[in-house]
Parts: sequence; C-alpha cells; structure tokens
Amino acid sequence: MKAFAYVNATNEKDALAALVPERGKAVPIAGGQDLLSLMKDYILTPERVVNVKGLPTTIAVPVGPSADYAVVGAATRLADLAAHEAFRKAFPAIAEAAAEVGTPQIRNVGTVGGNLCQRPRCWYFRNEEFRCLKKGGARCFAVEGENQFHAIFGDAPCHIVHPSSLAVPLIAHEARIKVVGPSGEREVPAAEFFVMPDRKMYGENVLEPNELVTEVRIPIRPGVKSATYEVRYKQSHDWPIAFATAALTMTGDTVRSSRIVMGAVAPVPWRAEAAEKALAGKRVTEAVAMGAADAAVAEAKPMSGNGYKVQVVRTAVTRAILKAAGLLKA
Amino acid sequence: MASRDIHGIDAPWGAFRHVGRDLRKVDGLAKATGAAMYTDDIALPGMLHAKTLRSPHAHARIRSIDAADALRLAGVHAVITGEHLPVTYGILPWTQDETALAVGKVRFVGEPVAAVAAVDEDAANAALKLIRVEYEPLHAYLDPFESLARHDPPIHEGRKDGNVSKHVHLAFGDVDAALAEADVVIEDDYVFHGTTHAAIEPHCAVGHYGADGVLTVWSSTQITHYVHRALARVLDVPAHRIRVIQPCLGGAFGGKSDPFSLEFVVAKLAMTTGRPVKMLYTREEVFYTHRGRHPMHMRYRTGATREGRLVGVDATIVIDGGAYSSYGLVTTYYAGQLLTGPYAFATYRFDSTRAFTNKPPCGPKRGHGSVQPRFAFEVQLDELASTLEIDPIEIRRRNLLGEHTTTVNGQRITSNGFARCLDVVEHASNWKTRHGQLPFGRGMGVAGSMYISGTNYPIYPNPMPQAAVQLKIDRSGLVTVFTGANDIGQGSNSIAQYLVAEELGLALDQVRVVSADTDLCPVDLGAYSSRETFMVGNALIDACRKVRPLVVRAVADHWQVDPSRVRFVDGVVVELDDPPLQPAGVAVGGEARPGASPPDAAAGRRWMTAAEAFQLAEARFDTLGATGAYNTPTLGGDYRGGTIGAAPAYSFTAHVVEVSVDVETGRITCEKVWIAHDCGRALNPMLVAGQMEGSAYMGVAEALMEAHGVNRFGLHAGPSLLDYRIPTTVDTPELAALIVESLDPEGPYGAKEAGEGPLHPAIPAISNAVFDAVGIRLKHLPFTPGKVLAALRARKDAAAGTPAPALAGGAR
Repeated sequence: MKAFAYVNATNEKDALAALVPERGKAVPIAGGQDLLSLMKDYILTPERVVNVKGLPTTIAVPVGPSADYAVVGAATRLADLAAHEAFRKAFPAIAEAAAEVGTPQIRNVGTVGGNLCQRPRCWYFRNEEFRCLKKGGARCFAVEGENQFHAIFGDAPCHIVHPSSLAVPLIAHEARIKVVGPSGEREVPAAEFFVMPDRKMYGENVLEPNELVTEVRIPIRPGVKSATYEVRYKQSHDWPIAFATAALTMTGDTVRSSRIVMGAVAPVPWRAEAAEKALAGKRVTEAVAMGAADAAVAEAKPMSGNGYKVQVVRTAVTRAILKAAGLLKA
Repeated sequence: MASRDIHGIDAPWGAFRHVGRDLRKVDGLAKATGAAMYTDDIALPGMLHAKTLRSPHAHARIRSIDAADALRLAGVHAVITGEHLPVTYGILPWTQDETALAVGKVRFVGEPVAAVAAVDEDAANAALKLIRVEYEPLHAYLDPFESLARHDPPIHEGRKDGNVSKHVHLAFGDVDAALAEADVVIEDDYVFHGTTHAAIEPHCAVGHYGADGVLTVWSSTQITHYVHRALARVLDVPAHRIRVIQPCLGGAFGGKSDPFSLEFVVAKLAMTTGRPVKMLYTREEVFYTHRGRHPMHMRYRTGATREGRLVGVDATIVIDGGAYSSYGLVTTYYAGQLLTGPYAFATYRFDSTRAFTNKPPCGPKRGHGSVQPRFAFEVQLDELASTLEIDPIEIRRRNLLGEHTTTVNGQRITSNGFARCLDVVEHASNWKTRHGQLPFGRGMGVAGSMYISGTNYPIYPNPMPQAAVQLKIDRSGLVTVFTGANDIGQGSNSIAQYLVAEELGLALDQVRVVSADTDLCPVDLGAYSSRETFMVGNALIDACRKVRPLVVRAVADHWQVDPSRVRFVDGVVVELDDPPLQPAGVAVGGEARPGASPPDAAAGRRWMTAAEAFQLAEARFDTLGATGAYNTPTLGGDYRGGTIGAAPAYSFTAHVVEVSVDVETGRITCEKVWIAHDCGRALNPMLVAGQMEGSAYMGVAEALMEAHGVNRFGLHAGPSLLDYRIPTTVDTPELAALIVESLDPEGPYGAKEAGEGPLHPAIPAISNAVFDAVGIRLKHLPFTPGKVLAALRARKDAAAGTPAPALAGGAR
C-alpha cells in the first residue's frame, strides 16, 4: 500500500473540503472494507484518505398515516441496519440483503454508503497486472478470458457485475440517494444513481470525485411486500452468484404492481420490467412466479462461461416473488 | 540395528497413563493467546526487509536486467538477480531444475526474477519498480496436452523428452485379458482441477550471517533438513556452517515442503549486506509460489464380474505439472502406485505422464498424488455398483484387500481396519434405511481410501536412519527431547512429549521438546508423507528404552530390590510388591506428582521422585542421555519404481457423505460427513479427530469450491482468499470423526497416520451422494452450480430422448 495523508473529517463540511475534483487523488473512507483492498492491490493509490465515519448514522422509520419516507444515514453500519426492528419490518428485502453482506465482521464496520459505492469484484479489474477498460486499457479481458461470474445483461463494453447487495432492494423500493458536493446537494433516484460503463467507465455511479453520499430515503408504502433471494457459491465472505428483489404492491393475494430487480447480472442493478408486466393483476402462484422469471431472463445474453447464471437468476427471481408473497417453501 | 527394532503395541508400565487421552497440545495455549513466535515475529537488530520482483510473462527469455536505478534509491542495500544465485536445486536429487531467481528465462507468471533488500518493505517495493527487465516473450503452454504435443520452444532446454516432466508405465498381470473377460467394464474420463494449500501463515524467512561465519536461516518450512542441504549447495557454504530453524508454523499442508526462493534470497542478501534480512510473502505471492495439488486428466477402465468382483483396472493419467519438477517424479508414481488398496484386484496397469506447463509449479498437497486417482476410481466403483445393482458399501466389501497381505503392485500391507471403517460409517449414518430412500434432491454416498504412513523413500538415497532423536536427562527431573521433526500444527512436538512421558513414567510437564533446529537436533527428514508420528514415535521409544534400564537399575540397586519391582508413574518411582500383584498403573492410580506422597507411601512402601532417581543414575553412570532412531524395513516391489509408494504401514478411511442438491440453482450443500479412519492406535484421540475433521473439511472444500489455476493469460485467476474460495464455518458440514484402531504391529504402540488419509474419500463420496440425490454423475471437479445445472439438463434431455445440447454459454 502506498503511503497517504489521513484526514479525520468530523462532519460533512470538513469531509467535502478535504475531497478534490481529480479522480483518485482523495477518497473517502468509512468501513474501509473495499477501499483498503483496492489500495493494497494498488488499484487505487490516493494521496489523501478522508474519514467519513462521522457522517449521519441515523435510521429513522416514521410511523402513522403521514409517514412519507424512512431515512438511513450513509455511515450506518450494515449490522445496525439488519438488526433494526422497525426497518426490517418496513423493508424486509433491504434488511435481508444487509444481513447477508460479507461476514459478521464486515457488517460490523461496513456502511450503507460504502456498500453502494464499492468497486466491482471483477478479477481482471482487481488484478494489478491487467490494464482493463476501467483502468484506461483497451479491452475487457472477460470477453476472451474467464467470465463465469460476469454479466449476462447489458451488452456493455465492460462486463462487470455491480457488487452492491443493497442497491438492488433499494431500487425495488424506489429509494432516493442524497448526494452532496461543492455546489450543494441533490437527490438521485436509486435507479438512476448507478450508470452503465458506456456512459462512465471509471466509476459505477453518478458521483463526482468530490461528492459524497450522505443518506438514503426510502418511501414508506404500507401495501408493499418485499423480499430478496440470493444464490451464493459460498454462504459467507463472498458475493452472490446472482440475486433478486421483488417488491409487490398487493391487493389481497393479487399483484397490482411490482418492482423486480436482479443483482450480480449486469454492470448496474438490472430491473426486469418484463417480469413486472407478467405479474401485474395476477394472483401469485408458483407458475405465475416462474412465468415472470422466464420473462425476466428472456433478454439475457450470456458470455462463454456464464450461461448457468441465467438459470440461477431465474430461480432467484421466482423465489424472491414467492418469498415476498409469503409462499416460499423452506 | 536399533533403528529397525520393533517395539510392540503394549504400554511400557502395564497401562497407558498419557497415550489414548485427549491431552492439550504443547503449544496450544501459546497459539491461542498469541504468544507463539512465528517466523515473521522475529526482529533482529539492523534487520533489512526484502521483496521479490516477479515475472509478468508466462514464458519469456530474459534479455537484460538493469538494477542501477534501484540500487541508487535511498534505503536500498542490495539487489540480486539470477546471476548471483545460479546454482540449481530441487527437492529430488534427480530433478534439480530450479534456481532461486530466474536465470536466462522465466517459465511462469510470478516466477522470482530479482530481489531487493532495503530498510523497509516500502523502500524495497519502490526499488522493485525501478528494476528494468527486458523480456522476449515465448509461446506459453497453458494446457498439458498442448505441451505434450509440441515443444518448440521447450519449457526446459536440453531435455531429450521435450516437455515431458516424467512418464511412468507399469503393468501387473494381463489387464487386457481380464477386462475382455469381465462381465461389465466401466470406462470414463475424470478431471481433477488444481487446488492449493492456503495455509494461514504466508511463507517467511529470516537470514543472519554471523561474524563467526555461521549462516542462520529461520524459515516457515516443513523440511528443515532438506532446506539445510539445499542452502549448502546453492550458497556454496559448508553445511556445518549453516543452521536452519523452523519457528512455530501456521499451517503447511505440503505447501512448505520444497526449498523456496526466499530461503536462498534472505541468506544471500544477509551475506551480501552483513545485516539480517527478512522476507515475508504476500498472499498473492503465496498463490504464485503454489506447489499445490496437480490437475489430472484421468481415463479409467474398471472391469468386474457379475457379482461385483473387480478383475482389472486400467488407468491413463495426464498430469499438469506447472513449470518445475518439485516432487513431480513422485507424484507421477503415486498417481498409480497408491490405488492398489483397500480393494484387491488381480490385474492393474497405469500410464501416467507429467507435463511441464507455464504455470506455477505443482507439488504435494495433503494426500499427495493419490487424491485425484482416488476420486476417479471411487466414482467409477460407484457406477459399477449401480450398473450391477449392488449396494455401494456391499461392492466395496466384496473386494476387500484384507490385512497382512501384499497388493497387486507388491506393497506389503500390515494392519488394515478398512472393513471396520465401512461397518462404522454404515451404522453411524443409518445407511441401510436411508441410502437410495431419501426424497429427490437429497442423497448419500460412500467412498474408501488407503494412504501411506511414512515412506521408505528418503528423497535422497542413503542408508542412514530416516528419523532420529536425542534425549537429555536432567537431574532436575526434566527430560529434554531433541528432534528434527517439523511440527506444522499436526502436533508432532506434542506426540513426542506424550510418548517420552509414557515410556519414562513421567508427568507431562517433565518433558520438553526442542525441534527442527539443525544445530541442536538430530536429523529428521521432515513433515511429509505422514511420517512424523510413525517414524519419530518409534525413534523416541528406541531412545527411551536405551536409557530407562539405567535409571531403573540405579534405583533397584539403591533399594536393593529386583529391577522388576521399580515402577515409574507420572514422575514418581515406587517400589512394587514382590512379586508385583498388579500392573503399576492400576496399583498407584490418582494424579501422583513429584514431591507429593503417592497413596502407596502411606502403606509403608518406598518411593522417590523421578529427579531423585535421575540423580542416583547420574551418580552411577555419569551424564544421562540417549539417542534413538528409526528406519523402515526393506519394502516395495521388485521392479523399477517398486519402492515408491511402499510404506511401513497404511492407514484406511471410509466416508459416508450426505448432500442436498438444489436442482433449480445447481447448488450442492454437503450436510454431513461420517469419517471412519483406521489410525492404528489413537495416541491422542482429540488430535486424531482434529486431523480427520480437518482432512474431510479440506476434501469437501476441494470438491465444491476451491479452484487454483491460471486464466487464459497465464495469470492466476484470483490470487486472493476472496477469489480462492475456502469454506467458512457457515459452509462447513457437520463432521463426525469415528476413530477405528487396528493396532499396527510396527507403529509406535500401534499408531499409524491420521493427517492425510482422511481427506481422500470426501471428494468421490460427494459425487456419489449427488448421484443418489438427483441421478447425475459428476466427473469433473469442482462441482460448481454451472456443472450441476449442465448435468441435470443433459440428464433431462437424455430422458426425453433428444441429444443433449450444451447449456447456452457453456458450463463452469
């Protein structure tokens, strides 16, 4: 790891002042679970590391008829989010995803903001020896190389899958992400926060180098039932092979509308609008869920070694729908 | 000759006091509290830190190396390259094809090219970036079949057989005739991917060159003696001026049983700079250093009668060796030689070829050379059982090799508890009411294996003992054991303490063990081939039985009684009735300690402490001590290679594994493993169970997750513990360790190995359990969701009568 200056920012203002517009020069650190490994592998060699653990750690879930949205501070630890009873009740899909990230140790230091902003796990990106597209190189090595964990959607020049577990259920719950920067603050729908490689190669979201995520706002919709279903190679200390969140707005056992979002299958969380259409107005049964899952993967374009992920995510979608509807058998 | 004495299986003083108990390891508390000193904990005054520049090319000629800028960097003391350490070495005398730093060319990505010693690691790393190496890339061989088919340019120049590292062809009986007459022949291809050891402690070495001209190297090695020899050869320093010490070690599993670049580099840099030098590999460097399990492509034909009796086995094996020989010669033999138990078959032939490739070199990993063929054969045996509609445990029973016999390839078998291992796992798992009867998606599988307990092959041929120890008997009542054995976590130091305390009738804390220091300890060949307990144990008993009569005689003469009336128990010497009414262990009982009155003292019998006894003996016979040694009997078949795989005893294992298979995601969950292992005698049942559980865990991991290989660019696919998946506690099945004791006539008190054998059956048993669960045969490791889904698809298509198309996008 290259030596760096450490700035301990106790508040948002100090943190912003310590960041700079040039990419990679100054970086924020919260739990550091992703950043430190990037630095140890010389993927990032910042001159300045800015501690932002002082950002808000609030979890506010208002109740009652006027309750509009819940607020989660960016520095909230994943373990705290997973354990928060009111939050878990209101947004089971998000809490479930938070509870499965990494390991207990990682969840005890990893934060919500850090989970959203982590860099891809692609082994070519992570290996110092490969100058891939994301590192200014000319090609994506996954195309002719090993790609069993790479993207099956998106057809982008870079074939990473987005590593965030929280991003997928947050999009399904139509969350908004608060971003602050030198010119003030803005709110970005979670679905628009993440960007495809053809729009931005050197990052995976809309953040500029001198901007910070400070909080996440999630609309409270009492009729929505949600669940996340992850399929993992290894049950802990790993990322899922593929996963899905279903957020169903139900009348009785009939779906009025829904949000189906798939994870670890594309460079950004991948919304399955075809599945949402297939579900609309239907009573949830196993056959209906499978039909929606078939629609979700109809446009998949697997690479040479990741065809199995189509089946894996199809199952994840089916089971997320059934789980949200309370129909998943153990 | 004492080193070939057989000491018997009985307790030395009538009943065992320490052996057979769940005792703590001697270093357990130090490790648990963090007090243990590992190599990286060593910090010497003025010590420099060294780092290695590694090749970015899989195969290239080195045109030039320019280190001038690196040498000018502040804090840099020395830079060395291959020209400073040009002497070749290798663990086997016949295949010395490595150099500490590349000379002339590089043969895999990650091969050491240059090393820097600097005031700290940052300065050394900065210097590495200033070394300019000009390479001329050559064609990289990443596939063993390609490197066997062509060798222009060759990976190693000047070899008459191109890229062939080793070829072995051995035949026993007329296999072709046997298979032609067999009622059923199963023929198939099996693939074992590569895996690596992933020990928690990365390799580390510290070199010190004293003013007296003595070179000391501390290293995280499991073979102190061979490192000692290799250092003398490569550095051109007489062996008597080199001292090698293995400090506490954080796991090895075979991954620290070669001499490695860093040991030579720290020694050379210490001699060059006059300062102590340390080098600690990063995790990434450990992955490139490798020496892990060889990938093997195996074709097996197995024939049997209608009743399920094996008549012949024919194997063709292609081994992907990586860039250097390492133990490859042995691996190539082991791949065939170790299959000939626990089942008898009258005819056998194997043809195994190890190919050089431009990848990190493979070597020995827990169950060296035999885990891969065992996987193939046990899956094939299961297929034979289902074809013949015979219960898989029953077919194994019908082919038992038995005890005190000889295998088809001429290996002597002594004790053999395999039949009981099968009984035990069958009973414990409720096999009869559950196998073949669980709901779809859940299944059970069985597999068996045999493994060497030490080997009569001493790596460099020599007539000297393979294991030797020395005892120092102190008038304080302490016995110090000096043993060259390498404790790599398996507990060899602990076993030494238990055995000496048992033999000399001492309390455990009266025995301390000094190990793996070439200045202090007699030569032991090291921790490999599951040899330490068996060989060092015998050497310890040998030494104790030389010195014990002197102490007993001194006490007997002092009391003026017959020596048969002198008994040592837990550090107290007591006078027995005349004649002894019962064995001492029963007569005394309790936890007698030196200095305390044993219960018998009240009855008026004479007694003294062991320290007093030692003083009597020292006054009578002068300074007390003894050496002990062990050597294997003459073993092995009478043909070239017939001694490779010949062991003084063999351990036997059977596993039953229960799995569940999620047919919609392709995920296999290993629910439980019942492990029955014949270890001869469990000297410490807790340590034996630990080895059994650890072995089974590692086997499950290799079957389901672990994969070590380079990608299409010659680089390691994921040189980190995130990308190299090892199960955590969450992924670890329930493990039931069921110890079977066959009391081997030649093992120390009957003991055999327990550290490697219990790994083997886990992998085929999982494949066999998956067949029971969902009806697919998995023959290519590892069993990933992609492979399971593809096999399920193929099975479905076959059932529907349509040819099986490849799963879209292939299967991984």
